[in-house]
Parts: sequence; structure tokens; C-alpha cells
Amino acid sequence: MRIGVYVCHCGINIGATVDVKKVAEFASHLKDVVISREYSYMCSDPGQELIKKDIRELGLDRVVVASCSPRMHEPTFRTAVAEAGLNPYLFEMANIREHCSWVHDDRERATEKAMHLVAGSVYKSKLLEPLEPMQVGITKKALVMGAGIAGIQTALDIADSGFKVYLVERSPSVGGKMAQLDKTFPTLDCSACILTPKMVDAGRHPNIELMTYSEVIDIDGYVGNFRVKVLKKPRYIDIEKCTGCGECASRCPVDVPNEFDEGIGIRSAIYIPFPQAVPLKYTIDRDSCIRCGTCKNVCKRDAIDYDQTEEIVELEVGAIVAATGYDLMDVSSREEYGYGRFDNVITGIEFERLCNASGPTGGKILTKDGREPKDVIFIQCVGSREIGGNEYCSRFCCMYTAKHAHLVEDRIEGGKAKVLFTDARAYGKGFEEFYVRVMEEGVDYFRRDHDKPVSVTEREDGKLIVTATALDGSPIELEGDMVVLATAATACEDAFEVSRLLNISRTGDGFFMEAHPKLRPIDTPSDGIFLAGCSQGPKDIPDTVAQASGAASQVLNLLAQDSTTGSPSVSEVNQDICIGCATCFEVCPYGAIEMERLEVGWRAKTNEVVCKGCGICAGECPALAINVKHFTDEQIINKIEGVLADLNEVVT
Amino acid sequence: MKILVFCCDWCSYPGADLAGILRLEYPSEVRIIKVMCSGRVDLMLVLDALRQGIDGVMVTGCHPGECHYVHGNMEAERRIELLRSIFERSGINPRRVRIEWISASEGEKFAEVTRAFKQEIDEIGPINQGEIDAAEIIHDVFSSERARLVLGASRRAIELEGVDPLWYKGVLERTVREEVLRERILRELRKTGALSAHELAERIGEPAKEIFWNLIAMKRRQIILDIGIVDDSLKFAIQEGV
Repeated sequence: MRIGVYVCHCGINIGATVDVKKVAEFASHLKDVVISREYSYMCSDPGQELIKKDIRELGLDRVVVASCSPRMHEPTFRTAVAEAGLNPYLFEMANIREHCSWVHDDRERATEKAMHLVAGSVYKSKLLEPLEPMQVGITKKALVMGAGIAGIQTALDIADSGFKVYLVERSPSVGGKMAQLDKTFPTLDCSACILTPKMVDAGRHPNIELMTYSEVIDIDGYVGNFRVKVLKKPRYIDIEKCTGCGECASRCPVDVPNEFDEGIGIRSAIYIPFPQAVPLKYTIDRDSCIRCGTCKNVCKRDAIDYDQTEEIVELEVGAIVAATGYDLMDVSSREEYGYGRFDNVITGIEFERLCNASGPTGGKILTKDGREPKDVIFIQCVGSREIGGNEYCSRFCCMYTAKHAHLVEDRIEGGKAKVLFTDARAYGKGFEEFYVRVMEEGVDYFRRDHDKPVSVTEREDGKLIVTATALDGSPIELEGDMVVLATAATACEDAFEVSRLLNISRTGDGFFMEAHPKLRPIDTPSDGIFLAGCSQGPKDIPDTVAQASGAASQVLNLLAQDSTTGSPSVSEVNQDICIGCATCFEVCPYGAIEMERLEVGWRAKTNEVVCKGCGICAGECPALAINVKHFTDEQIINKIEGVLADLNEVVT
Repeated sequence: MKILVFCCDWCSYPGADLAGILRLEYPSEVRIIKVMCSGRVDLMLVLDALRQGIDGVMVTGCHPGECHYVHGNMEAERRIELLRSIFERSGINPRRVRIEWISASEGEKFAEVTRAFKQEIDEIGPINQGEIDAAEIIHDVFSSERARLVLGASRRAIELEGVDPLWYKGVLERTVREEVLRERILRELRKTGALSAHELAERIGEPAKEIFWNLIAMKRRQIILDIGIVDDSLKFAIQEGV
């Protein structure tokens, strides 16, 4: 046996904590190791070339790379090894970055652990067997979760390429947060005017099946072959019959706050969230409905169906895009801002609804008692960039606040905007120019010390007083009729549940984690699952659209292929020692075990196409007749021996 | 101090990766072994680790209801629970094995549970020779057919046949206890040749009555044979070829 070991520095990621030279030197003394090298970046071209050259020139028959998580670069090295003519399953990885250098500070102990991990992989590699990957078909359909601008763009791009897309949205209409906005910075385009055509396209595209008022409740399977369960909530409306005429809503006697208007506007119990909704179909909110039956009586198309129930639809797709968006922080818990206590302290998104021509005030900026505010104070970084809180920057608030300030100056006669900011971040195309323009229009910017408290109080005459501290320590006191809070963008309330559903990770800030922060910002570590928009982190509309198109392109890369390779790591029954007890048959979650009648009696057999390689059968087999390829008992035992061996003993 | 953590490919392994990405420090004694599913972890593997002198073994998998392989994690839990109850009566500290659920997004939890496990093992101290010997015996029990059959059939019995799970658990534990005793009897017989129930009781430290009952059972299974009455007691020896 001729084993080659390659230990990676990963720049200083490994090298700073682990003595890489020492680990490589140690590995060179292990039995059957004929070459042991260290290199700054094994995943780089020269790094891979090193391995390939050694395979050819030294005739290596096993390769061990000690570097990052196999979830990161196992495919890279398997390909490299295969290119040099070695079976890719004769390769084994030791994770000395995520599981060692990044979690241990003590250099000596980390180095010792790295040696152990290398020894374990070398030991296991000795028992590896060549395996041939299986070809599995790809379902040429995609699922997009969330139909805000990110999901809509992704779905349109995929659908335009000729593939079927299921676009699932939990609320009654597509559009997402962007549909709530008034103007968009820095160009001051009307949000609805640029979004609505896309919503309509998504609604009538022959390749898009729109599933609104629906939620994904279960995902199973793997890249190319996902099985998805979607719960369709009852609208109590037959959407085939509903024409969206609105007769029902105008007669419905119930008035409740409209969520789409952030509670400022009002809707009926039977409603569409906003006039441009897609699909233009009504929904009955049964929680507010008083069962008077008026809507049924007035509907000329007989579209009302009170007996509708939840329905679960099963879909098969090859790829999934999570475009589930973001939430805005609930600021009522932060008493210093006075939100919830003072009527005219509102959030940025509420201000958007006030400005919006189809909003509750018809686009007029008004206080809660219907008066035009003259002085409007904007407070930025509310809940963002706080040590111990949301430490990140929410990225779009600086610019939307500049836009809001502009609207105050523009729309209110004698209106005056004052912005209390910490840093004005105008990093995008045209942003700085817009920021300068707004200041030139007469908006006053007051820079505050973000570490010092802000307080909002109400005077007896109803004026709001905002106090803060300037960077030089002097006090700031502003007086106004309305205070607008630029609250932090946060991960969706149910981001945790969704991440579980998708089997993906989240970063410390709660947003979904990409496969690599720089080079794979759209992929997730789970093959076939991609990210678009704010579910991955706060971003503005152009960035969201760009990422959405990127996600669509990743999906198309996959769907354009006819097959993908399935893992050959499946279970295998040794029929000579199988006793035909059918325990494996009972425990297999996939029905991958078949019992066959032979002359000697019943024997189990694995259906390799159905088998997913979990190994539950192997763990349970009474006769110890089942093993899982690439994870055999012997391979696992060897690895355990290696990772816990006496380091002095194992070197020869 | 040696600690082994089995991680499944879908939840806890990426969870451990996330701990790395978040730079969360945890004890360097922790050694991770990747398997596709926690359900792959055969008790034999856990026991093999302990008999090699490893001080603690933790099996980690997806949260209940979220196993990528539907119910592999539940199978793992059932096995580890059984092992802990067997350990309680076999002189091995049951706290040396545990099972934890860690999702791919729970890097922090991975660091927390490994820290806590290390602390627990520190408290109970390194594995001693008595425990290693006991692990060796239980390892052999879980490599043999009888215990594995009873363990393997439990799913069918409880879920398909509607057998009372508590009752089945009792049967399972009793079977394993018997097998442990029988394994110890076999070792004595291998060492000494022929022995009576009383002589075995003295060496093993279990009641002679219970040993005799097991000797009869072993004879019925043709693992041992009786060689007749010597000094007023029936003596037994290992059957050739066992």
C-alpha cells in the first residue's frame, strides 16, 4: 500500500494554531505512508497538482488530505484524485480546520489533535475500497420559497429558460416587502410601478405554478430528487371562479387593521391585501369573520366556499431556492424609543405606507390624528450595529432614511426633516450622489454617539423630544411632530424552522448561511438548495435581484443536466451470514431492503438505487451481515483507533 | 482523557463545522467520527471504543422528527438508552455514553454539549480496568446473535404488533443481562475447563441459582455441555467448536 498525506496550512487558518510542518513530519513516519507534504493551500491548482503528480510518479494508491471540512472541499479533491487516475473513493479527508484549528487555542494540543485526526484518516484509508458513483436522474422542476422580489425574479429566470417552477408564498399575494414600499432609492422610481409588471408576469407565466397562501411543511430527498409537501391554507374562495371584482369586500361589515399597511390601514374580513395583488383573488380571514354570509349572498360568481379545508400537495423538484426574506425588529421592547407609547413614533416601513399613493392616507404623510407633521425626526441604527444585540449593519436604512427625508421636504409644505445618524453609509451606485442631494435640499443631519443612549419623550403640547449625545460629548436635543425609527432588519421569525426544513445552517446573526461567504454566496452546503435575497442577509433591491438571478442560474446549471451522480456509499448484505430475520427490512426508512427466497431460506438484499446509505440496517443487523460501503464497521473502528492512538506508538 | 463523538452527515457534523466557523472553543480531547446517520452507530462500535480505553462516547444526530433518514436518530436513541441501563448493572458508569440532538444550525450547542460532556467525564474520572473489562464482555454480547435479535425485533414488535413498549424493554434488558452473565461464565470455563454452578458463583460473584439456570440455558443452546457430577455437583465445560 502506498499512501500520500497532504497537510494544508489554509493560509493562517490552520497554520496559526496547528504546527503543520510537525503534523506532516509525523504523518511521514506512519506505516505505509510513502510521501507526506505540507502546502499553503491544498485546494489551489498547484496544491491539487502536487497530489496528481505524486499519484502518477510515486504510484500512490491512497490519498489523505488534512485541511478543511469535507463539506467544503471533498468534491474538489475527489475530482483531482480521479483526474490522476485513482478511484475517488480511495481518498480520505481529515478536518483539521473547522474541527481543530478554529476551535482550539492551545497550539500544542491542537497540533496533537491534528496528528490524531491525520492518523485516523490514514488508518481508515487503508481499508477504503474503490467505488463507482451511481447515476441518478434529475427532476427538471424547481421550487422557489417566498415570492418577494427575490423569489419572483428567480422564478421568472428559471421559467424563461423553459423549466417548471413552483413559486410558494405564504401570504395571499406575491410581492413581499417591496410591494409595501413607496419610492425606491436612489432613483426615486415608484416601487409598485417597477414591481407590479414582474408580479403579473409571475402570475401568468406558463411555466410558473403560483401557490399563494401556502407553506412548505416538509422537504425530503436530495439534490435532483426532492420531495416537497406544501400546505395550502383555505382561502374559502374558489379561485377559479373569483374575478376579483371586490363586491364582497365592499359589503363585508367587518373592519380590521390591514397587516399589509402595518396596521395603519383597514381591510374587511374578506380581502385582498392591496389593489395590485397577484393573484387578484379574495381571501376570507376566518379569525375575524362573523359568519354573516353577506359575501356569499353578493358574489355573482358563486365563488365563496365556507367548507374549504387545508390541503397538502406533494411536489417533486430537482432544486430549491430559499427566498424567504426578512423581518423588521419589533422595537416596542425598546422603551427608550417610545414606540407604542407615543402615537407619532412610527417605524420606517409604516412611514412607507403613509407615503404610498395606494396606502391608507392616499400618499399623504399624516400624524395619527390626521395632521400634517412639520418637523419629522429620523433616528437611524435603531437596533442595528449594537454590541450584544444585532451587531451587523442592516444596509438599506441609511438610504431609505435619506429618501424619507427627501419626501418630507418634497411633500409637506414647510416640512423639515432632521436625521439623527451614526454613520451615513452610501456605498452603492448613485448612493453618495443621492445623499449629497438630500443634504443640499436642506435636510439636517445630526451625528450621534451610537454608544450613548437615545431617548424619545413627549411634551404636554404633544411635541416629541429626541435627546442624544454628539461625538464630542455635547448633548443633542431635537423637537418634532413625528419620529421615524429605522429599525433593524432581522432574520425571519421562523428562520430557524425553515433552516431545519432545508437542512441548512444559519450564521450567528440568524440569517441563512451560504456555502462560502466570498466564493459561493448563493449556494448552501446542501447540494441543490440555493439562497436569494434577504434570507441570506440584509440587502437592497438591486443586490437582491442580482442574487436572485444568480440563484436561478445555479438552479439552471443543475436542471440542464440529465443526471447527477449519486453516492455509491450504500448498504450491502453478505447473504452467506444473513439469517433472513428481516430486521433490516423493518427498520429501513426507504423500503430499500428486499427479501428474497433462496434455496437456503430467506435472505435480505439491498436495492442500491433506493438505498440512501444511512446504515440503520447495519447498526441493527442481528447477524452482523450488513455493512455500508465507505462506512464499514472495520473502517470506522480503524478510524477510531487512529484518532485516539498513542502518537509515539503509531510511528514506525 | 479521550472523548469520541459520532456525528451524522446531515445535522451534527455541519453543526460541528459551524462551531468552527463561529470559532467556538471546546475541549481538544473531542474526536469526531463522521457517519451518514446516527442510526449507523452500532452498539458494537461504541463498546469497541470503550474497551479501547476511551473515556466517553457521545452519539449526536438530528433532532427528533428531523432525521434526514426519517427515524435513524430514534433507533440510535433506543440503543444508547439500552446501553445506559445495561451499564448501570455492569459496573460501567452510564454517564460515559450519551446521545445529543444537534442541528446543522446549532454550532453553539455543539460546543456547549461537548464542553458539558468533557466536564462530566472529568467528574467521573478516566475509565478504569474494571469498566474496560466489562465493556469487553458487553461488546462480545452485542456481537452475538441473541442480544442483537431481541434488539433488532423491537421496532416490529412495538410499532407493528402493538406490544407494550415497557414490557419489551424489560425483555430486552433481561436478555442482555443474561448474555452478559453467560459471556462471563464462558470466560471462566475457557480459563479453567470444567466448573460447577457453585464454583462459578464464587468466581463471578453472582448467585449460584441464577448461574445454574443460565448454564441449563446454555446447554440447551449447545454452547456448553455437562460432563457429569463431580464432587456432588454437576459440572459444565465448553462445547467443542464454540
